Amino acid sequence: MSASIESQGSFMTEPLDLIRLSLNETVYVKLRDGRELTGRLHAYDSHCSMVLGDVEETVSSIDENDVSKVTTKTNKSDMLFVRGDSVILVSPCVPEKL
Amino acid sequence: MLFFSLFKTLVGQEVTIELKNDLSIRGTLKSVDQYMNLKLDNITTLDEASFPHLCAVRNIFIRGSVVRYVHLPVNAVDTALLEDAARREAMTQAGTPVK
Amino acid sequence: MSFFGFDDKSTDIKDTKEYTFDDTYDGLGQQLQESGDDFNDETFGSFAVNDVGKDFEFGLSSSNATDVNNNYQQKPQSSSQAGMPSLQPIASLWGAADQAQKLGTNEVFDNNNFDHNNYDRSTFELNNSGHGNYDPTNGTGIPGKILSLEEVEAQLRAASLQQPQFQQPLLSMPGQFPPHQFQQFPPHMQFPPLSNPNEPNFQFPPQMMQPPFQQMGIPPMPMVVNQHSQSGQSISQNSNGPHAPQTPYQLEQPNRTPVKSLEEIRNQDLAMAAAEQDKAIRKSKKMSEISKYNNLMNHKDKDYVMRMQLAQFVTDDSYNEDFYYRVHTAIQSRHNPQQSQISNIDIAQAYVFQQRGNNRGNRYRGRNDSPLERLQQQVQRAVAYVKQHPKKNLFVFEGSLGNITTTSGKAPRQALKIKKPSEGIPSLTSGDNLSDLLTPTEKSSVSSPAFQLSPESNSSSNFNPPSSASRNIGNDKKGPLYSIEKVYSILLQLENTERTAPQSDPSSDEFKEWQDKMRSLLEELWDALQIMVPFDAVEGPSQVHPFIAMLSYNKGMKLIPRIFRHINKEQRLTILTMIVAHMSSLEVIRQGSYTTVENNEQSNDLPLRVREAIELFSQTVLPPLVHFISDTSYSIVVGLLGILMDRNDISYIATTKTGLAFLTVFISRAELISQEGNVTQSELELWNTTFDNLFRSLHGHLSSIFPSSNNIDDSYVWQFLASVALAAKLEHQRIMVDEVRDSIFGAMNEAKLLSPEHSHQKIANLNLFLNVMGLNATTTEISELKINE
Repeated sequence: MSASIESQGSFMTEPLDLIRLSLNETVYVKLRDGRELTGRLHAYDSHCSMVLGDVEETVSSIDENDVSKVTTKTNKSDMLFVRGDSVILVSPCVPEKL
Repeated sequence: MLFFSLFKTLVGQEVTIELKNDLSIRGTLKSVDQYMNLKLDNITTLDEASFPHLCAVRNIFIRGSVVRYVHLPVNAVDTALLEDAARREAMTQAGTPVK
Repeated sequence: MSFFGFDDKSTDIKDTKEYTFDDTYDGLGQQLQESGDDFNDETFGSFAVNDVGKDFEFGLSSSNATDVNNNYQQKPQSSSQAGMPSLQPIASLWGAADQAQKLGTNEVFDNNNFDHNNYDRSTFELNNSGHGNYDPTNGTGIPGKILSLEEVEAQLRAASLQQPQFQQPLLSMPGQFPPHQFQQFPPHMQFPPLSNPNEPNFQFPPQMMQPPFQQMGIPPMPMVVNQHSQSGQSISQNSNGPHAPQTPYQLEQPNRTPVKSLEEIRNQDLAMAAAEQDKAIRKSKKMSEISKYNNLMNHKDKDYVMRMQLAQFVTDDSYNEDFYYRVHTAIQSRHNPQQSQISNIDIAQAYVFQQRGNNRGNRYRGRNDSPLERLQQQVQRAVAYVKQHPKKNLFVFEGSLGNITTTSGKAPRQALKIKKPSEGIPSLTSGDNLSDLLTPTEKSSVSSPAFQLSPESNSSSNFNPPSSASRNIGNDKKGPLYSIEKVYSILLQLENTERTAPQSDPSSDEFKEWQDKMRSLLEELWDALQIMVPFDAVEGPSQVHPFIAMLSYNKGMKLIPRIFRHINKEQRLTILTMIVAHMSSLEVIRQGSYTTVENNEQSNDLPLRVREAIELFSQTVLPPLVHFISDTSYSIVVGLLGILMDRNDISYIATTKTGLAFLTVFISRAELISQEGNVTQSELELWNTTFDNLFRSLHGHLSSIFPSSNNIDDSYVWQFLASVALAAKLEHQRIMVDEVRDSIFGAMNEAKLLSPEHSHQKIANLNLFLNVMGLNATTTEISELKINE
């Protein structure tokens, strides 16, 4: 193991590197304002900005009249850029058992 | 600079920008800078009833920080290349840039 | 190294040397005496110390005015004339940043009308060190003498009397008249352009409204206000200031009479002119407000700030940072050659123009200033400078540029500081770095499994039945993903190194160095693939070889064609052998059997995710493998088929699309070589034995290899049956027909119900198989089939 990657010892040590593991995998992203995304991760950067493919967005909002009622709405997008400042968490999406 | 790089390739494409105030604006991407500020041409808002003042606006400059999403034309994005670019960016961040 | 779009080769550092700060700077900045200001009041008159530097240059205001005009109205001339001087301060900045910074923020530069052309001069004046290098065209200034306010005012008056008949717009004679003479515009009749929308800037250069004039007590308004034609005399100097401009029209208006006469028409004209004048005054007031801070920063300052900003963006690794754009653009231009590629220069120009415009912060830039070439040159120089100087010392500029942030787009502020684990990632255990743990003997013992695994060996060991498909995703998912990303890291390095192959002679040291690097990266890549990890060493619940586990992921599959480009034939064979031997553990096989679908009544097909994975596998992994098989020798093909049968459950594998594809390729390749006849008798016998074994395994299962639904394309099944029939003896063929008879008739019946196009396709698929045995089918002619049988 002579050359760079291993010997420099910095491969996969940062928290963000965990997101790298999910490149080209389906991820779950929780956003501000009760939004959640599920989609295939194609790119991310240090701000947690992302490009997701085949995204499904779920928007949850509390009913104005009845606080106990939560309405959800889903939207789809083929390719979506998400600005990082809305992102709360990114997690690998465990697919349902086939 | 990954997404700056990406958006530069999308200049001239139709995109839909969803702002943090829930306004969605569709238009032709004219330019972008490193802060992800965006300029759009020939814009239409998807919700003109709520934002009538935008009916007459054709061109718009959007400060990057108010953007929530940008819906991209799927055919204009090379996902394999984009993933490689993301890996390169990650490697640069980690101090082992591709050289 | 380059600055994004810039072609780094075009960066000209020669000029930078030519105009270094040290060359052009005469060192007077160091002689500034900050002490000894006690008698300044006596020298300059008694006004607030803060005002020093804003109004000292009255005697020179003509040159300033014209300079300013040059800046905003005659930019081409200005830039061509002052090409060198304008670059000079920039160059000097690069030469001695610290000094420049000191000077740039010195009060000396507080002069609003500061211009680099009289930079030295103004410095001297303020510091009483004035020995003039005055330009004789500078008007009324007296070289070497510091003027008091009174003296200057007297001078201005005198000059205005001397030259009362100023007729020409200032543009035509820059540098000839002190600015106060602009007040002596001829009567307004000669200045219809007041109402000309094209010329307001000409008549109201914002610089005219600047503090120096105002502080001198010279009202800026009158000099743009047209004077009454009948007055016959110019307005003399006055101290009314900008808020009480002279408006002779107001005096005249009472003279208007209802009689329509030439006089009245004229008066109406005058009234209109007066209204316009009011408007103009308002406008110029507004402009003076806006332009109050014009030139607060001189060129040097602006260039300096711009350089600091550029320093944030300059990169020595533009290929990395702009990787996507560059490669994408290259690919696009390859696909559409007629669509001209956006050149790097264009981007750079667009970027620089934008950048520059922002710095100027005024709205007059759009006309004819900022020649792009010059800016580009400047940026190139700035970039060259930044490259030469590490950008770590940004804190040096703290204060001069306000607060300096240490974070940037590339290195944002960290909200969380997490201590780095000293070694590795403890959570990643399954299969990681196992190759490192192996002793050399262990490694050699697992090398080239293709040649160790004869068809007879290992028939029972390590068989990984599909029933063990359940696995703990949460636990072992990170392992393969980690391995995949590690391979990608090395692969990217490898591809980049390959791209940067030296053009020099293969025997040169440079080339050898490059070869060594390639070789070591290839070794690293091979290790990272973990293909040499013995299966026995694999622990954990998954019981899947780490290499095979990588192929469970889309991105793992996508690796194979990219890796195959780099590895040698033996390594390719090793990968193929590994895949063949562990085929049952491949995700596309484990999940891909149609026999498992029957439980699911709704769709009668595999889940979408699995179908996509199978499709991707056949697009990425299969082609390089098939290509390799089609090139390889008879014994290896037969040997691989033997391994496949020994280590896997053929009857199960045959129920998957991917498994059938492998079988089809092996059988047809072996049969093809057999028919060519270049095989020894023993090889032929081995092939016959192998095929018999294969057929025995398939016997009784052939009806189950079809997809679970009629709607699924089953052409690959007919292809497989055709290849088997090709190799099979007659009795084999009979058995086959018997077993798939239902499917044959089913296909024919189905074809009747389909549209002609689809029907034809269905029958064609069917005939792939039947034709091998000399049979033919149509949608209706069942009898024909029976006759031939």
